[in-house]
Amino acid sequence: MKIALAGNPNSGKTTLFNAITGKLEQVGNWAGVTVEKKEARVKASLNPRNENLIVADLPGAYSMSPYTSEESITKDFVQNEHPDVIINIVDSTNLSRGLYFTTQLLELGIPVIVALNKCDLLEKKGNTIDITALSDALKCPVISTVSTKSSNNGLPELIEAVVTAGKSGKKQLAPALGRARKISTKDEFERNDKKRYAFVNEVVTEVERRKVSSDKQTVQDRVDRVVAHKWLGIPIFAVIVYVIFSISQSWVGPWIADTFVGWIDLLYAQVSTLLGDNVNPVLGTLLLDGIIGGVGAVIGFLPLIMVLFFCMALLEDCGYMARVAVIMDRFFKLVGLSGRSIIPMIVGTGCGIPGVMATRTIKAERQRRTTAMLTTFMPCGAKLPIIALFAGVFFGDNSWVGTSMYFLGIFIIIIGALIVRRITGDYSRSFFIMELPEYRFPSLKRAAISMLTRAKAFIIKAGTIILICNAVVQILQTFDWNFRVVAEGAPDSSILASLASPVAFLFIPLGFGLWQFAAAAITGFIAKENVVGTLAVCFAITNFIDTDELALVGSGTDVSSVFGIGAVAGLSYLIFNLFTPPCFAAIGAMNSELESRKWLWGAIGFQMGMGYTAAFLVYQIGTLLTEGTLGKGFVGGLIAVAIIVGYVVYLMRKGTRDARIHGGLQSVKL
Amino acid sequence: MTSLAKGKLNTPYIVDAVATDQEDIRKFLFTLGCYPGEKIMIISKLGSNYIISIKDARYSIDSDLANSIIIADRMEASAKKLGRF
Amino acid sequence: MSTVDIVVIAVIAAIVSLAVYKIVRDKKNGVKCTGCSECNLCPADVQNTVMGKAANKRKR
Repeated sequence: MKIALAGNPNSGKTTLFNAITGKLEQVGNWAGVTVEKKEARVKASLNPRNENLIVADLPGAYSMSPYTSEESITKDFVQNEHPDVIINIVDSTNLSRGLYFTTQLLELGIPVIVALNKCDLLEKKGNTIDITALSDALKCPVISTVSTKSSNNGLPELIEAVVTAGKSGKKQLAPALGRARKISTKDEFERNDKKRYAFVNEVVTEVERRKVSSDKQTVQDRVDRVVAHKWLGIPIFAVIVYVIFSISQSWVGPWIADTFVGWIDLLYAQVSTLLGDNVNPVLGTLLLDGIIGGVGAVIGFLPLIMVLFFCMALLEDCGYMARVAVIMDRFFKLVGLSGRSIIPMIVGTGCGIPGVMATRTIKAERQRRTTAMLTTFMPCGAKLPIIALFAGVFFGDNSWVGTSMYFLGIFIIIIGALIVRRITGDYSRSFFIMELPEYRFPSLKRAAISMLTRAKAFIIKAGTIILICNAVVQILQTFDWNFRVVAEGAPDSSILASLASPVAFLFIPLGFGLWQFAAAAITGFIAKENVVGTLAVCFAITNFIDTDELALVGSGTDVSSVFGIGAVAGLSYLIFNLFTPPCFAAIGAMNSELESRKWLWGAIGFQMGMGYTAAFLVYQIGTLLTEGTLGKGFVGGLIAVAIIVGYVVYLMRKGTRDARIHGGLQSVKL
Repeated sequence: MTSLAKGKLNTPYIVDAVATDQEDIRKFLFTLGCYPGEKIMIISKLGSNYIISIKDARYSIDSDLANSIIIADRMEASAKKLGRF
Repeated sequence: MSTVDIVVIAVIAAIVSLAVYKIVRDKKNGVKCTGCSECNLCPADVQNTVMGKAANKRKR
């Protein structure tokens, strides 16, 4: 039996889906977290007769007439895949809006079960809904549910009702319009729509008793006025990001990391003693430095990342992110994007691939493509170890480093969008509308689950892809082209060095023209964690986090002297790695969303140019400020940057001129 | 009769029309419960964004959209209704 | 070559083949991106594209 879960955005579909299937899909307290359908079986405890029950969680929709593309997924599924039963989740705190969609679902002829969700919130507000009367009016079963609770939540009753309805094979009656007729004209459509709402209004007045009018200003509204304030909004957001970074990087994170890294060091030491002097040095270093050391260096950042992800999950759960979209809308409007573009970027802070994919929810083509090519400028989870490493080695773990990288990402996105708008000459604007969900106390359990799944994935990645890459890097730097072991003190003759040196040459104006850094940047395209892993292998550093002191990377000065670059060049390298093209997988995702070779290569070229230019500016200006002289390779770099900037300016002028010829400057479209 | 962008805070208005040539945004607003005859209220203005209340939910809309929602205050709306009969 | 060397070679081979095995098994089990926790946000077609097959099959 195929069961579809349909309902308004943020009505709790995915929470309900997780509760009845035992899955752990991502939920968030903001509209649009689910953008694709997910299918799973109903879990055994809710399915005592062991029937074949498959549930599909669909993206939220307000109606059957799609406005956004996630809505059309819902429409297509319901209309084409003929589910046997539809569970319509209705947010009981916004009954009338939810029931409008219900009336449309009822007209499909498929049995509908209404799950009246968030009943606990309804009670808290002091409102009541007469469930029997509602069920009579809608001519379908209505079950009250609280999908966030683990017991007494109405779910067994819900599944029971679903199975009964699915087996009866009766056609669903449509109470709002009576018999469904084929309609064709626009007038008829509108008349039907009005009829539906009239029906809904009638039902709502009949079944709902409310204490507080929703028009009253609430505490939530007062909070909104502060956090989404014209001037205060951004600083508050910055403070929140800063606090998250201080917790994860300066307080709790290092405290756990210390113990954790201790174990890795212990393992390294024990294996080292076990091997003794009898082992072939090539094999010994491959195992110790290549595999244990390289993977250990990456894994060492795990506690820190876990704490960070935990905090981020709490933030997403409480409903603040929708407000961030409101704050950002103002700035994004100026450059031809809208607040909708912020959703992919927030998703992109976890992993760039789903972030790029989430751009699908944006309707206007130029905006969608612009967002898809810029989303990966938000530092993703895999880039966090790089941030943590450089913040630790060069900046004493200052939380400002991480915070400023996020805001620099936003800044670069805004600049990028401005440039794209000029190049395409598409000055269309779009309306922005976003539901502001009610704030709620974030669930520690959900945050913990989110953190643990991400931690598990991080370990798996470190133990597979990163491990293999590290082993390969270790082998490549051990041998020269004649497959002889590189002589002690002459690492520059290794295969790796000769492969990376030409690239390193290009990096001289950026302050890190060493082949080790070039090699790490290159392996970073396979997975960004590799930057840390490869640096560890190339410099034979087993851990970046000192165990003798509580401070993360207490041996910071030591590591920086091994690296042989200064703080300015370190910052430049960090920026280069964060703002160059993402990993190959994310580029693949960009390819599928951009749907155009021209845009894809444009995007990759733009990202390379942006990374290079930003790193160049940081290094040269930074060196000028700290040492009073320009950095190495200034002239060469300046020429390269001038060519990049010149080409972009040329494209921008050309785009604007073409647009003027075609008169496409004024249009306002969606 | 004026646009929502010029409306006062915390004053219940009645939607009179959604003045846009874009059918889909009008339809979308309809599904949220924003259509002629329905109540709408501005909760706050934050920069160029408006926090509005439609039915039982809060939405943030930009000024472009606020400009295209035409509202009437209660008196006007009831007068118009009377005029029809 | 000493006994220790052979043991070390065996250990390295075991670790690396375990990593490769994990990736291959994941592919077979439908986990497209080994070590990515965001599958729940990631629809099948994107995962396929990332894997380089069945790209652009999606209808918009």
